[in-house]
Amino acid sequence: MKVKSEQFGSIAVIELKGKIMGGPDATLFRDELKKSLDSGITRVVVDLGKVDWMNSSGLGILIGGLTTVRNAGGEMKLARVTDKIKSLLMITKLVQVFNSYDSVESAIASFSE
Amino acid sequence: MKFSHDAELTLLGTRLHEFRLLLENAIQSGPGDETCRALFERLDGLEQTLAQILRSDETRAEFELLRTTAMLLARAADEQEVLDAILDGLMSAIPYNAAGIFLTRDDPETHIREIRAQVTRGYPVLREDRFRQKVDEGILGWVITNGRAEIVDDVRLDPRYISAREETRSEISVPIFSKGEVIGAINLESDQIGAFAIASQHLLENLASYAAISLDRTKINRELIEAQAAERELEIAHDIQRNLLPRGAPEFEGYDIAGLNVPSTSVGGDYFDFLSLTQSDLGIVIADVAGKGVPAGLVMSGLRAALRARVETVYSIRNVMAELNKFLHASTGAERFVTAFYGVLNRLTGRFTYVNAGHNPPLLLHADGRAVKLQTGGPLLGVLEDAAYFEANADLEPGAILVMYTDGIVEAGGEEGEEFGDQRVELLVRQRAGESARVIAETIEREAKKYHRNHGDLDDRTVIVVKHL
Repeated sequence: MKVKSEQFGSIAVIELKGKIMGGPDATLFRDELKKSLDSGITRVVVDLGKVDWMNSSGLGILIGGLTTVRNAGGEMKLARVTDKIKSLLMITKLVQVFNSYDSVESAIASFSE
Repeated sequence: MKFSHDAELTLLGTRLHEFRLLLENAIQSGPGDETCRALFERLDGLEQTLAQILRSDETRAEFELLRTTAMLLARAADEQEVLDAILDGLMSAIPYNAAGIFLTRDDPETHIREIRAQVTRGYPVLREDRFRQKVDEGILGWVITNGRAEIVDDVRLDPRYISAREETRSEISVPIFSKGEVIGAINLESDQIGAFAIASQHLLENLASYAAISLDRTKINRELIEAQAAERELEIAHDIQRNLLPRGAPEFEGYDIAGLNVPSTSVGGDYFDFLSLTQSDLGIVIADVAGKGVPAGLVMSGLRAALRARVETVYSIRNVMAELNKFLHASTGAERFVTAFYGVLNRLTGRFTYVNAGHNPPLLLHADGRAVKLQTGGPLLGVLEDAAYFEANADLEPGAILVMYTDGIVEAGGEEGEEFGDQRVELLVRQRAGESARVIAETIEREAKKYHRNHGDLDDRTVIVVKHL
C-alpha cells in the first residue's frame, strides 16, 4: 500500500493506493495521520479511489484512523469509496459511522457546511 | 605484565660494563678523537639495546593480548569479559590514557543511528550508559561512518575532533566490522602528541575482528533464545486456543451439525462455539477477531468467556450482543474489533433467533431452493460504545441448510483478483446439499483454500453447517 498526503488549507487529504491488508500498512497510514495531527490539522479526507482491494484487517486501519482523529477533536471522511470497501462497510454496518463522498472535492466541501 | 628479558638485560649489562672500561681508560689517558668516537659508538649500541628491550616488551604484550583474547573467544567467554580483556591488555601493548570500545545502535524511539560506549577506560566522569554521540560527530564518528581507521597526531589541529577529555593530544580509532558493515570502533587517546603509529593500527584491527566475533556471538545467542521463547509461547497459546474451540459436533436431535476451523498461524483469531442452553435450545456463535497470533487469540478467549457468562443470565440475544460490544469496547483498542454472529436454534420448532454484529451474513438455503442472507443485527463489536442491536427470526424447516463462515473463506484469492465470494459458497452448498454437514463444511474450506492458490498468508477459515434433517 502506498500513502500520499496533501494539504488543502486546513484539510489534509491522504490518498491510499494499492491493496490494504493490515500489518505494516497500518503503521504507514497511522504515521501519515500523526504527521497531520501533529501539525494541527484535524480535518482529514481519506481518498480511497486508487485502492485495488481491502480486507477486514484493512478496515481496521480506517476504524483506527477515525477513532484517532475524533479523539483529537477532529473528523475523518472517506472519498471515492470502491465497491469492495462499500461492501465491507455494509456488512460491518459501519456505513452510518463513516461519512463517504463520491469525490475528494465534495468531501472537502462538506467540512464547510 | 612482566617479561623475561634475561638475554637482553645480560647484553645490556655487558655493554654497560664495556662502556665503563672505555670511559675509565679515556679519563686516564685523556680523551682523544678516537676515544670519543668509540665512546659515542658504545652509547649508540646501549641505546639500541634498550630500545630493543622496550620494543620487545610491547611486541610481547601484543602477542600476549592476541593470545589471551583468542583463548577467551575459544572458551566462549561472555562479551563483557572479552571487551574488558582487550582494553586492559592494550594498556601494555599500546600505552594509552583513555580507551573505549564504542558500538552503533538505533535509538529505539527515533530510529536514528547513534554511538554508545560499551566499555571504557580513563574517561573522566563518563558514565558508559550516558555516553551518546551522533554517528557523524568526532573522529570516532568519521571512522565509523567511513569504515576506515584514522590516526591523529595532534587532535587540536583536526577540525573533526570533539573533546571528551581535556588532556588528550593524539588519538587512534579503528572500525569494527561485522558481516561487512561497521558496527562500532576501538578508540585510544593519549596525552602525548603522535603517540600512535601504524603498528598500533594493525594490532587494533586484529583486536577489532576479535571483538566483532564476540559481539556477533552474543547477538546470535540472544536471537536464538528469543526465537525459542517466542515459539514456546505460541505453542502454549495454540494449545490454550485449541481447548477453547469445540472438539466435535454437538448432538442435537433431528439436526446434523458440523463446525471446522483452520487457523492461519499457530494461533488464529477465528472463533466458533456451540452452547447447550436448554434441552431444546442450542446457541451457535461464529466470530472473527481482527488480526492474528497471540493478541487475537487472547481477545477471542476473552470473548468466549464473556459470552458464556452472559448467556447464563441474559436471555435476550440482542442484549447479549450489546453487552459483548461494551465489554470489547472497554477492554481493547479501536483497531481490535470483532465481527460476530450469534443465534439460538430451537430443536422443536426449527426457529432460529439471531443477531448479526457486522459479520459475513450466514446463508440459509431453504428446502424449496430459496436462499436468504441473515443480516439483521448491528455494527461489529468493540468499535462503537453505544451501538444498538436488533434480533430477527428465521425458520429452519426440514431440509433447510444453514451455513456460517468467516471472511477467510470468501476473501480467499481477493489479493490477486476476484474473491472466492459468497456466490461460490452458495453454489457449493446447492451442489452438495445431499451430503452430510461435515462433508459440506470440508468441501467449502477445501475449495476456498485451493482457490487462494498460495498467495501469501491465508486468513483463518471457519465454517459451520447446520442441516435440519
